[in-house]
Amino acid sequence: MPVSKTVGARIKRREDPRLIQGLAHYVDDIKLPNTLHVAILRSPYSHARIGAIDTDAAQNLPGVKAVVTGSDIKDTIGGIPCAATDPEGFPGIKVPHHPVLAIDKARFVGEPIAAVAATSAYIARDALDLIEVDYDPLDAVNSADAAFADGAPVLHEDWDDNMAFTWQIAGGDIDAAFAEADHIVSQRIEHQRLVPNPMETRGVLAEYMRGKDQLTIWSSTQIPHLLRTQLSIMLDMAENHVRVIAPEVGGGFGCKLNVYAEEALLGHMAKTLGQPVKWIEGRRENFLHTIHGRDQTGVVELAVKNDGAILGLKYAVTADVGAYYQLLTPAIPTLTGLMLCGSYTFQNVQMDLKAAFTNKMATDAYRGAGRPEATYLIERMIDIAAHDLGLDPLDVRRKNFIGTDAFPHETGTALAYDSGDYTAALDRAVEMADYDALRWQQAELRDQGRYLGIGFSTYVEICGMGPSAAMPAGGWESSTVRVDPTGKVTVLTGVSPHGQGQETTFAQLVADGLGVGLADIRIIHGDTDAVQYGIGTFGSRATAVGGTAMVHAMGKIKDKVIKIAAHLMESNPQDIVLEDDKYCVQGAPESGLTLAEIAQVAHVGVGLPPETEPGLAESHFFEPPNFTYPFGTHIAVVEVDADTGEVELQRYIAVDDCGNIINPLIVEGQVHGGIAQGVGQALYEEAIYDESGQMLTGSFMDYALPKAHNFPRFELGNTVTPSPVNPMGVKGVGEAGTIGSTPAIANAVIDALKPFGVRHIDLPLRPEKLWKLMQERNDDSL
Amino acid sequence: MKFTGTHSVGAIPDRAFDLLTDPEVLARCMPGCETLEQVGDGVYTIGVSAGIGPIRGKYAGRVVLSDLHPPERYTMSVDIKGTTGFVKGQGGVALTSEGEGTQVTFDGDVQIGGPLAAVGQRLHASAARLMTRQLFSAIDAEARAAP
Repeated sequence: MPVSKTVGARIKRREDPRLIQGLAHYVDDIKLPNTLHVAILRSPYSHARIGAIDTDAAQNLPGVKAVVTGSDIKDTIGGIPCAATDPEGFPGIKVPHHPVLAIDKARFVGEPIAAVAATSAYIARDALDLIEVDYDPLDAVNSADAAFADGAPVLHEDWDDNMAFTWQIAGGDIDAAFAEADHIVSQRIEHQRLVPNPMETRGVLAEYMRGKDQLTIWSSTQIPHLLRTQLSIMLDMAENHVRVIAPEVGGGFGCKLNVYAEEALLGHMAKTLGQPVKWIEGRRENFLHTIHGRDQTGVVELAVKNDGAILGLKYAVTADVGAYYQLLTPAIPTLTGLMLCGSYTFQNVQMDLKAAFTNKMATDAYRGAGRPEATYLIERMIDIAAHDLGLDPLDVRRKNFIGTDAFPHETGTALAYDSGDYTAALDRAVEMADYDALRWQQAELRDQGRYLGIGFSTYVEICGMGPSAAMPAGGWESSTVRVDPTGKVTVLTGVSPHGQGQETTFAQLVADGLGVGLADIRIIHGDTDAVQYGIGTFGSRATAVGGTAMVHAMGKIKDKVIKIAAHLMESNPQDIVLEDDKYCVQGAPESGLTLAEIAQVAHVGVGLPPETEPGLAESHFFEPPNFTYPFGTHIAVVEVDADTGEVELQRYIAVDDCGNIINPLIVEGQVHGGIAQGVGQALYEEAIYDESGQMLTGSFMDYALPKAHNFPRFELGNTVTPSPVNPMGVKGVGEAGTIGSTPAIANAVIDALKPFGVRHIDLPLRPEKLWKLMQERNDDSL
Repeated sequence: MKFTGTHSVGAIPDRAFDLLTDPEVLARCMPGCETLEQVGDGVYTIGVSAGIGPIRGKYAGRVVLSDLHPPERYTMSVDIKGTTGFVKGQGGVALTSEGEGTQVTFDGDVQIGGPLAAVGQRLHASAARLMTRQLFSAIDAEARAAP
């Protein structure tokens, strides 16, 4: 894609002025008169039978309008949906009913038990203290191992065990690969549970207009249309009487790609109370009852030859999915299975997954969603194999890379990688890092008892989700482009940006495509009454799929504009070009017409070519033929302090290839944020539940998010390998930083501790863990 | 959470035992104790106001003293809950003569849940130590005061 006027330029985000000036409207900023405030009573027990619930005192508190319990609504609000329960994909899957408010039994700490609506948020909170719940505590299941143990307490008593589902993927001839191997490298690897932690917690405002039988839900969501469909089912309302609005959304990272209890509950309460109701999630509630990410533990076996050639990979894994499914819970670990081959040629692969119900919050999509697990384990295994075979981890990667001439490449898991040049990205990163000099420096420092580590991650991931056939709830995307009589352009997009900057990048595409100024373009999203049905923003799909839908709709507009221009200028459409924002006969822009002039004709309806509809608006629904596969090389340089075990991230080099780039500034921003979250997983973050199922890391005092001072200035580079999957050649970059960075950091820290004979350490690599290891073992080289 | 400790009380075991199992003494000495009423043989209802870190609240429930072997040992169980969570524990208390006084050793398991667990967990052990130290120094003061 050629760099033209705006596409490819470092244009500042048009969203930012309102965000940094406090002028954005999040759910909590929307004030409706007469609004009642809702507070949710949550289970303090991880597993307990619920007896009588006495709400009298709460009901009688002045200001309280309603108290709702599970038994009040169990026949009026349907269960919380899961879109990934097809028994063909998950043989024998158990799909428990997931009530909006717990009925008879609480299954995790934070599960909603009752809701209070009151005239102020404070009264609602006070009323919660007056609700008496008769709990009979049961033994808890706090891990997948505990869930599968003999005699384990059973969460869902419709079945007799806690096996939620199993899943398997196999490609090639795994037995032959292992028989042929010189070494079998084996390692148990944990992917710890994480809390997504968007800056804005969830929140819902609901209003019901009885006269029109219309329910409007404002929710901090990534998927307004899918949410509308599900709410209409849960609340048994006609879908065209439900409107969902995602106003400004302060980050999601996957955790708002969901349908939550509170969204349906508030819709129901607005309807029954006849007043608007609002609930804003507190940070402590967010820790307990917004989905978590990762939480897989498995044993990886890698079949390798002495020269480092990888023949095959086996992964036997358990996933701790929590007490119930949320929207995509079972689908997430399947993405791990699909991506097990990484950037490498081996075709023999097998993953056997067992998923356990436990007394915890559900896991679901968190930035990367299943792919970080795949990249982490393959990138770790390559380093372990290099360690065991005495090879340079860089050489092992090069040896096994899929060749640049091998695309499209079919993996052992039946994915078709669209395009790639893995060696080019690696070479660029190695050059930026000055790898040989780093190894010299490392050797010198080791002589002084200082521990420098260098870690690689050469990732490939799935973006542009995706073909509908491969998705649980549609993978296409929609766009309508409208040109007003005055020539202003409005884009209605089915994606729902919440930090990704599409109000800027989409406007860049329109500015260049139709010949209008950026200021004349408005991107509307997130309102189901305004925008045609769409799927939403997740899986780094908004530009690759939603942007493509818009480009196609814009192409239809342009065809019509050219047809009208040709008619007005008594020329042939094939002779009309867009030059200097004028539609003109080639080489004569001075006699051309602007979009505004043509739009006026289209709307006046006089002077149009024969057989031409008046007006100027076109829609397009784009079904992508494939996913896209961005890739890159990340290099981390760390020093581990022998006295404290603290990891200093000294340098971070990231070379990402996300195909063609519309706005480098936005791409860099996405990579920065992604790296930050990946570093969080590598060094700091872990959601911990104790034996009784209590979440011990339920606030920022105990759940460590990285802060700006934990990062060096990231050194970013890129290569450009366009994707053949869409006409723009874009791939997606929302999750690359997270997927690439965790293994690079882990490999660097473990490389630093090589003198101590360290081969693997599970994440997060907290100082106390590293310090203990360094105390227990001696540096053999000294 | 395992919960163990040893404290000294300035009285012979017979008297220390009486003090430790006397609801009126306990009500006076237990930090944050607002009410303590006997409702059965060795069974008491209790109301406590306490705070750990940022989590402050009122808790109510029962305390049961059982398996009483004066002046050597008894078992104590606590089951209280409030708006900010719950505390459930059981443990053995052993008294041994130590010079003029008594050494009191306890060894139990405590389970903490709700917001109290999610937010205050790093402070649990130190808060529990602080509160038991306050309890025993108050009992020690009672013991040293004229009977």
